Amino acid sequence: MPAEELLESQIIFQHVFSESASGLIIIDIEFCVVDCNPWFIKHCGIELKEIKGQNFTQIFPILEKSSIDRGVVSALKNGMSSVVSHTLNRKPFPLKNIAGQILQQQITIKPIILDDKQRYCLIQIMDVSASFNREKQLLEQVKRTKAITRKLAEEKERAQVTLSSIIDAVITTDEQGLILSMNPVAEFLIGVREEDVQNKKVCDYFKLINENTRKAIPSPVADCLQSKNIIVNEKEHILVGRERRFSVHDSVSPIINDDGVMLGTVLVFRDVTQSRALAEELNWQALHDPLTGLANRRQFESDMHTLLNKAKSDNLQHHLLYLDLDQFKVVNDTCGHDAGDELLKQITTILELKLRKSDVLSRLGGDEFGVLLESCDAENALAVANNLRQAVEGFRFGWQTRSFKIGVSIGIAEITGEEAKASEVLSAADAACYVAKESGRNRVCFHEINASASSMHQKEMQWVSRLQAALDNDCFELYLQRIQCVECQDGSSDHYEVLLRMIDESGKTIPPGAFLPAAERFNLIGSIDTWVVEKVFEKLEDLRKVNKYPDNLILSINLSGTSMANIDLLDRISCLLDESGFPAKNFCFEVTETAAIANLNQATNFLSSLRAKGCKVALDDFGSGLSSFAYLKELPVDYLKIDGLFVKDIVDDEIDKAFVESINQIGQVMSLETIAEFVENDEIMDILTEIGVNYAQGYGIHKPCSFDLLFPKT
Amino acid sequence: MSDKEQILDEFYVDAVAEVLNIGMGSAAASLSEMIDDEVKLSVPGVEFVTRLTASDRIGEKAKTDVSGVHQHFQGAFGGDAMLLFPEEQSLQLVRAVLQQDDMTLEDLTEMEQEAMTEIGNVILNSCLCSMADMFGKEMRGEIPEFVQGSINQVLTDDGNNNHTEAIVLLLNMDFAVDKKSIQGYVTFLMDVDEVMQLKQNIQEFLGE
Repeated sequence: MPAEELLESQIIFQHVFSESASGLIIIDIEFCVVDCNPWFIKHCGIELKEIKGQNFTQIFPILEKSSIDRGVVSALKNGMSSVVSHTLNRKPFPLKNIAGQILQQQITIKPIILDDKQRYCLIQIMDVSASFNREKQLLEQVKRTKAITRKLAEEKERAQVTLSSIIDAVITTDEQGLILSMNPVAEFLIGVREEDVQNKKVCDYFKLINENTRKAIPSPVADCLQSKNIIVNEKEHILVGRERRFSVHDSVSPIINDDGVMLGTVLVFRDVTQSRALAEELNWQALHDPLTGLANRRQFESDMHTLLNKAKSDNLQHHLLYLDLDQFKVVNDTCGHDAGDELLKQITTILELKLRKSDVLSRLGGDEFGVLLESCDAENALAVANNLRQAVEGFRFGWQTRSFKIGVSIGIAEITGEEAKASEVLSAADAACYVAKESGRNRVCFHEINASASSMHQKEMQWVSRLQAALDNDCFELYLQRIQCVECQDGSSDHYEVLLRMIDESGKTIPPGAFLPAAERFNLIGSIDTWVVEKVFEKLEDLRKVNKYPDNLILSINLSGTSMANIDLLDRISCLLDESGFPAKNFCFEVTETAAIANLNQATNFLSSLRAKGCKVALDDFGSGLSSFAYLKELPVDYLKIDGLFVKDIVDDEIDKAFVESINQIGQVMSLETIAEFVENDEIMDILTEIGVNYAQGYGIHKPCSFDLLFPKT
Repeated sequence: MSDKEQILDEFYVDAVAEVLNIGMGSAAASLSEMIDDEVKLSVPGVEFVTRLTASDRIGEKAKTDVSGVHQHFQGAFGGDAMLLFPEEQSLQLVRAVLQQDDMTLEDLTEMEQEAMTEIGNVILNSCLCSMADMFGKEMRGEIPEFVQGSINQVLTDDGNNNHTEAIVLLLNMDFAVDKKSIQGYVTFLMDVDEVMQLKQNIQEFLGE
């Protein structure tokens, strides 16, 4: 190399050596420092002159037996290059930065061999502090990220397990309403698999409809996406899935990030099919009779209330029928409750067949039914009632080997809209029904509404005062109806049933059917019974005074069921007999079979006492069922009054005739005399004669007549 | 015919293996001192094979990439020395040496690569020195570099492509540290001429 070039090369090399941004040290075979560059001097803080020519481990004692020392030996002795990494090097050069911190160093040691004698090694020191710190930060960042990732994964796992465990259906959608996920319950309700519907429109797989209107409900997801509000619905929604339907509560919540951007929705369904069905079942049970499935009294009153309000605004006529079965108790008591229940079910079927769809039939109590006839005038109501009555009358209830003829008494009341409460209409119909029952049963009776009366309530209250006034003022009158001996039809019999009429303020005669129900309801019937008994004795006393006391007289006086428990009345009768001295055999006391059965023990005691006195006892309205024979053994009676219902059709109805024959036969066997009621003509009389009934009573024989007319004092 | 019979007699190979084991002992001592923990190095197998066979052998163990240290050397004979580990094993090695079990990255970081380079450098230098001592001749090792890639890339793209008929002195190496056992390979990649040099050196050493 020419001298000039060599010089230039030396100068350049010197510059490179001086300007290098890493530390450079040259060491000779004696391990002494030949030279080191300014970078190294700057960072080691020792003057160059103190370094040059010195043994490098003496300058830096820390380096003795270090990796650097080993590398230098390896380079000088073996000619090997070495790398001393920052990470593994625990003994770096004591080089510091301006802040006084030890530099992180990466060191390479390379032999420079000119010939066997001239061997050197070059140590190059690079400051990797920046890389080191960067990497340290990176690793910390990675650690944090990993920790967060792990936590997120755990959270996700937990969320997924939670989702698959809960009983609600959960569907998530993106901001366009496309399905992202659904849990197993959602898959079940909708009838799809999650993987089949991902990224599909949520509204394509199910719809919601209103349980009542059956109309589709707009997608709540679309609603939520638009409004960004939580939409909660607990109304009667039905989820129509692919395979099945469920009653559900549904809610949709928007997922909105920190920046207010809509990310999607969470749709939740709760299957309330069972609870809703249960609620409906309970509701139904609360308002229906479990036996017949008909509406119960509560529901009926509610329906009536609705109709009552309607009646106030429309000009239509509506009516209420109150039905009371005539022979239910007999069936129930003699054949057991199973029979009674069966009877009610069959009667329900019969009644339903005769009603319009719009008519509301309900079971109000034991054997009481109600019918609401909407938009039905009085004439039609009467027709419907008679239809029902005939249907029941034509029905025979069979139980095991027995057969029962059933009757129904029906009261009709108009719903005018003027009534304050549903119960008023019900009471009115009830009263009419009672009248029907008292007038001989198996009848239809209209509740008479006084047009001027402002309400039923006032009218009823009026009855109380009218009856009380009638009792106080003797505004009743005794009527008599002859009971004819069938064998000796010569008119010589002096056997009469005592009947009662009320004389109103205008002097008009009111039949018992009109006031007896009210008297029963307001507990005045006992007083009326007493009044009648006393009146009979008074009349007879009057006759005796004028020497007109009829011989061979038998007066049959009706007593109510209530009186069977009235010891005072018993004492009074006893006292009257004793005081008057009238023969007890002149008096017969009648009690209806139903009343006697209803208070069997009391009736037995009461009637036994009367018989002990010498009075006669008759069982009224007897024979509604063959089974009632069972009671006969218990009850001390002299006469059986055969129910007129059997008698009046005896000419045309073979069954009725057979009934009368049977009752008569039983009566005869038990040494009881029989009396047939409702004998309206000679044909009936002929048959009765043929059967052998002892007595007959009815319009065909004798129309009721005033006591005073029949037995005038003058 | 097997590779080693073709290239070098078994007799010679055994001699090389013995020398290399001495080198490994020295390297293990250095490493133990460096990390203040016992490091054991052993060479269960030494063989001369073709570059292709070496590639296949190492490839069997390293399904993924390999990483390691490459160091060029010259002197008594010349070539390229490499310490190679399957990627996964290199991670385990470095982390065992640095006692950083909680390292979470799947790749060696810059600092770890540097540490790996130093470890490889210590082992390769020891091997080279032991051979230099054996032959009583000068050997010179260049500055080591970290290498990474598929085994084929590493064994061929090493700047020695001119070694078309390269022969590889292949060492299986077991590296036991911190209760872990890590398998790696040391390769000395030489062309035919250099192998002849090696053979001659061995013969001289054996006094043949």
